Amino acid sequence: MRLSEKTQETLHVFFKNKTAVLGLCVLCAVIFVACFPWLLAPNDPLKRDLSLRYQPGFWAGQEFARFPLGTDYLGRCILSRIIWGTRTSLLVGCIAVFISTVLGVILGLFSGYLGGWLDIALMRIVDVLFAFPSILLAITIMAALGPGLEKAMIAIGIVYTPQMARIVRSVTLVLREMEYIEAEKALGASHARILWYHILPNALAPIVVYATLNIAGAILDAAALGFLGLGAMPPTPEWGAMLSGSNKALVSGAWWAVAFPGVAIMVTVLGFNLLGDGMRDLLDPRLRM
Amino acid sequence: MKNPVLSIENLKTYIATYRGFVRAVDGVTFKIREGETLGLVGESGCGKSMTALSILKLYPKPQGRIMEGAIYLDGEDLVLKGEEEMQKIRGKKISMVFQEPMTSLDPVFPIGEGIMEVLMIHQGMSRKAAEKEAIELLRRVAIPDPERRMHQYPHQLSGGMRQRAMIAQALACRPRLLVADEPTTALDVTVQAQILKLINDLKEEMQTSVLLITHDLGVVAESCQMVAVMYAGKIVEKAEVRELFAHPLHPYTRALLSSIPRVDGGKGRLEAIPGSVPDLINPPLGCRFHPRCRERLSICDKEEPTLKMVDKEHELACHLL
Repeated sequence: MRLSEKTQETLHVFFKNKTAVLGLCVLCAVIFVACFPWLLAPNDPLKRDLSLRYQPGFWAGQEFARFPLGTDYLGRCILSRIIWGTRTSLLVGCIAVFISTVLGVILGLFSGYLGGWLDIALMRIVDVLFAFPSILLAITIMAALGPGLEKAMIAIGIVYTPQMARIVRSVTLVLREMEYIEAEKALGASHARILWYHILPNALAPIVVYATLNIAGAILDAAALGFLGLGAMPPTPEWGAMLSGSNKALVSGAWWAVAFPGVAIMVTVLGFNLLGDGMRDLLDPRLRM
Repeated sequence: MKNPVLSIENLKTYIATYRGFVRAVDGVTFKIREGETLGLVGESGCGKSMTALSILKLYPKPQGRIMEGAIYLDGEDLVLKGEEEMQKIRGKKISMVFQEPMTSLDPVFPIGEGIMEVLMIHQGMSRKAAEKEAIELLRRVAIPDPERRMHQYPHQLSGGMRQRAMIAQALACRPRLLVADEPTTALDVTVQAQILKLINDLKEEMQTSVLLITHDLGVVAESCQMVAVMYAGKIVEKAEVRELFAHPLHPYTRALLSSIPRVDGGKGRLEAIPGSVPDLINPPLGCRFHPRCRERLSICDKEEPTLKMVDKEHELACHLL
């Protein structure tokens, strides 16, 4: 297959950016794990054995190799639970952020570009949403929607919308006054065209970066909801729920029950952030020298 | 005598601010005939750019408003047109070239894309046809290797190249009128001359009229047939270009001309006009130039002079005559 010159250039710029490539590799690995957990998990993630509570992992010696990362408070294999939980956590993060990005971009673009009473009305609604602590707002929305992981995604999506709307609005306010937008108007472009073809692409860099950063927060918020019995239902393996469920583990000295799900979240978030940074460079033609 | 393409009558564009109305354009009247270039000259802040934006109805909204007057393009009054009708006129019948080629091209689109966009909006061209036409246009504005250049982004081109791309974009639909707002101010001198020549050549070729806004009288001498001198929202003198340079009548015009350095001039100090452009919210009574005028009469701060014909192709608003 022959790639066009432009695609080749784009790929070249992307692959020159080491951190972005690293981010992409990390994410590919995480996605692979999410797709094929049964190939990788050494044990059944749901099987509990109370006689094996808080067993340490491979570092404690050969005899513990059965559970490479140890066991949790119910004697379940932590590594297997992390592997099986990848899919859930990734989905929660991505779908919640997708919802908030779509809503936030639409609200922010219209609010910033059209201004006037629409802007005032929308931004007051956003301010009201801002006034609630995010977790309280999510709980309120969950109370209306009912418990469950899908509903947690929607609730978190709504919670993250105001910030995205504010960011997109502020970028739109700046772009609206740019001379090239004036020039587009002078060429006879309609408002819809200016909004979608000229303002949105120019605003894409902060949107992408902010969305990837939000995925991390969304995964953690989903965990908090799970802890309150509103998100992922036990015994479904989910990283956040694993963190919250092991809150007593530290007292018993079983640091691994908390540390490894945390590492899993951190690695995924890092992957998204690195990729997000790389995307920003890729989307900004001024940095393509 | 050819018909006027653009005819502006007693145009008043005011801008609302907290302190009151800024009378940016205050009763401007002029005509541009077919294939003619009119130079609109004046200091910064005298209302030149606002006049240009009024023609396209792109003055800042909702603060700005056309309070009075008419703008006839081929006999049709643009003041009465709605936003949607104006969108069809902009870029097709009237185009604009801006001052800063650095900031007036969308940084995320290759330059060819911008030209194709205009063609697709106004001519309903397919992408393929528009691409072919865009290459032709880029070739016409003397951009070397247009097939490759059209895929380049604005930041990859020099200022002169970008201004050429802007001109190609503006002239893509062969508009009746090209409004060029200080098209050469941001460029260096050698490139300035090339861009002016390009505008002139294309004007001839496409039978387009040009409104050239500038503060540079050298630019006017090079490329205009008619000149209008604007001061504080009003036109103070309007004449055929050679006539104006040979017999400037308004004290402001004379002051402008004497503040240009001359190669054959004496060794004396270069003249400057004392004071600055007046506040356009509360403009001075009478003639707006009288506080800075060296030859003012007692009537000048009481009665406002109107634009009167003093000769064929020469109009003046001054009490001195």
